Amino acid sequence: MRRLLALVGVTSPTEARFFQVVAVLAAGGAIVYWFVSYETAGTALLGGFTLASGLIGLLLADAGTDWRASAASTRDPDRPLLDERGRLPSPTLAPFAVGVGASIAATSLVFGPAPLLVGALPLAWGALDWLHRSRAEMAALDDGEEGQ
Amino acid sequence: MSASAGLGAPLLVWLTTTDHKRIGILYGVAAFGFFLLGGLLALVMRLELSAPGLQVVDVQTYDQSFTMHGTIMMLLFGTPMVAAFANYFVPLQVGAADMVFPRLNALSFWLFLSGGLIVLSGYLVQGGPADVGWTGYAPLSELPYSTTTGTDLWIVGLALTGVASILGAINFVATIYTRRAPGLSMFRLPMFCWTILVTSLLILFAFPAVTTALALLLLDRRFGATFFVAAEGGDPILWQHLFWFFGHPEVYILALPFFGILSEVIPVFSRKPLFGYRLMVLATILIGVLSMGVWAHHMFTTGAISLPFFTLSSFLIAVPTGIKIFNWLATMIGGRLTFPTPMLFATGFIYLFTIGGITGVIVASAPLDFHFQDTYFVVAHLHNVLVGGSLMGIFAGLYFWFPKITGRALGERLGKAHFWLWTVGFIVTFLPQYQLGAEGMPRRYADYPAELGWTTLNGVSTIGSGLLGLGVLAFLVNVALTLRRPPDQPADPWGGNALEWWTSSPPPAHNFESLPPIRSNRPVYDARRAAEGGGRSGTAGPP
Ligand code: HEM
Ligand SMILES: [Cu+2]
Repeated sequence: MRRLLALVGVTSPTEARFFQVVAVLAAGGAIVYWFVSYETAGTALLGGFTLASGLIGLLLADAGTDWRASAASTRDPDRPLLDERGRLPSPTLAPFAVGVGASIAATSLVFGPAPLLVGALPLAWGALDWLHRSRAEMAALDDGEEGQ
Repeated sequence: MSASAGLGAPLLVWLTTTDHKRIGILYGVAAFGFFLLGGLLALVMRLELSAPGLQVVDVQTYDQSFTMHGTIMMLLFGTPMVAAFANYFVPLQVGAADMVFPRLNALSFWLFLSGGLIVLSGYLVQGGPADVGWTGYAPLSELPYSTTTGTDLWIVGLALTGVASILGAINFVATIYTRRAPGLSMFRLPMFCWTILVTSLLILFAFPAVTTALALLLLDRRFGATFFVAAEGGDPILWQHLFWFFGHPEVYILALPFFGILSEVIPVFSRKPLFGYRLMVLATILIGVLSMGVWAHHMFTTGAISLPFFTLSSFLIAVPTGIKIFNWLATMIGGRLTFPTPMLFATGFIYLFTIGGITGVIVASAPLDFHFQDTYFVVAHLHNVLVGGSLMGIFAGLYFWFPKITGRALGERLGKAHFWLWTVGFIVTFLPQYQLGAEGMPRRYADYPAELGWTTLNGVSTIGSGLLGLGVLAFLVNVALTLRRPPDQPADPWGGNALEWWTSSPPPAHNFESLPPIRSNRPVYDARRAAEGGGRSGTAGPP
């Protein structure tokens, strides 16, 4: 029952209700739009807007407030950011490599395959480095809750 | 990665950073660089228009200039400037050490910067940059009409910046939802964060439409598809739907965050809490959602859309916008007002944006729009909202938060000079354009006949754009002079309300050494009062 009330927005947390309210308003717009215009492109766009925001709202509502509590419980009120200090990544060239690599590769759509070859290298290196680092961080967090 | 000394070291710091503050600064500096370029193009166009005949550029160059100017200002300056403010201040205002996904945040920036440079790289290819208008209307953006490779680069570059914006929006929503400090409930969130939340929603649901449109257009141009080619069964109107489903919310992406900045600045310099906080939140959400349902007011004259629906929905937006303006005025009334530069820009915003809103209602009315469509009335209106609105908000924010970001306050004298040059420059540049539009001068033409009597007003408008240029110069000189001084600003130079004023200026790498108790939407104000010996707290929201 509590869950049902949350799903329809009665007892859902504000974070979820934000998306739920948006979805209801969007749905209203989509319906009115269809009946005054019978135009498909716009109705599809508004429908997509409704579905996407509705889905996010429902998922958040269904998750209840547990995720909120767990986000807060990791924080010691006296030393509010100590936990986060351990969580923050160290400087890394990976995002730069992925971003620039992907962009160079994308110009292949205009210039043919050559840029793809140039961009793929930093893209691949960056993506691997990124994965590698986040794995290592997760592992460190798992076996060192006290350590950080 | 340990950097060795020398010139490479500082460069490496910026290339490898995942700190939201540094990324915010990167966004701001890059966006402002693009702004200077877009401004230069504007001055070239204004020079060309100062007198009949072709003096400075030819017709093709003029087409490319307004295309690149519009594209740069909207997508390579305005939108990333929002990302700059949001990056720097959302984590600080919610009391977090960083964004939820710091590396993704860095990726957003590098995608944006590379995408922007790809758009500009059109200047290097034969045929020059895109010449299709910032709206890229099909069929004019299809191959037989726009042959330059610059248009393809425009498509690819913009798609990349679009992806960057979407990734950034996900990060902002997730940060506001999960990294708030203990006690900071949603209804104690600073208004700026609320506006970024709603702006992110718009980005999430509007940008995919334009990314799709760009992809389809590239397929048409490069791979023989016919999505927008009417002769082959495609539909050019579909481009307009997809583009404006993004394009109108985009206008609010360039307005809502600056509403947020005003809601931070005005209470501080009125020495009062923000009037009607919850109503402001509601108005923000309503503006956001309504702005997704008005796109086709740009398509009145296509005859393909429902006139009453879009006229009515466009009028409706005026209601929550009016609520905001009323609430800012109500905040100021009875306050102990002071007018340092940030407050000047904030009040200027209220005046000029209101005028822009009124002329907006005029063009949103279908019968009148049939008269004004594609005239300088529209050019005047859109610059009224963007130059008199968004830019005023950006400058208000920059003067307000510069001490926090750099530890140094921008000079007041140059700041005031900047404000007056910008305000007077705005009026002199764009008021004549309303008149020119009413007289029927069409937009997007490099030239006009001498005998129509448009020469004087165009000359006045060009002089005004010179004043705007001087205003920007005053700002740049101010920044350069200020940065040469040693940092001297305390944590809270203005007497601020939200958490960013709790920590040192500039903040340490991890933002906070401590946090005050949060019992209202003005925790820093509360703490100040408590330190002065107790007293009432600010407007308390329920937990
Ligand atoms: C600062 C002073 C500015 C001046 C003097 C200026 C001047 C101009 C001129 C001369 C045009 C071309 C008009 C035409 O031939 O149709 C134009 C178009 C445009 N401007 Fe500006 N502009 C300024 C700032 C801005 C800003 C800050 C923005 C956005 C944030 C902006 C967005 C646009 C857009 C979207 C267009 C339409 C481009 C198109 O037709 O495709 N402008 N501006
Ligand atoms: Cu619009």
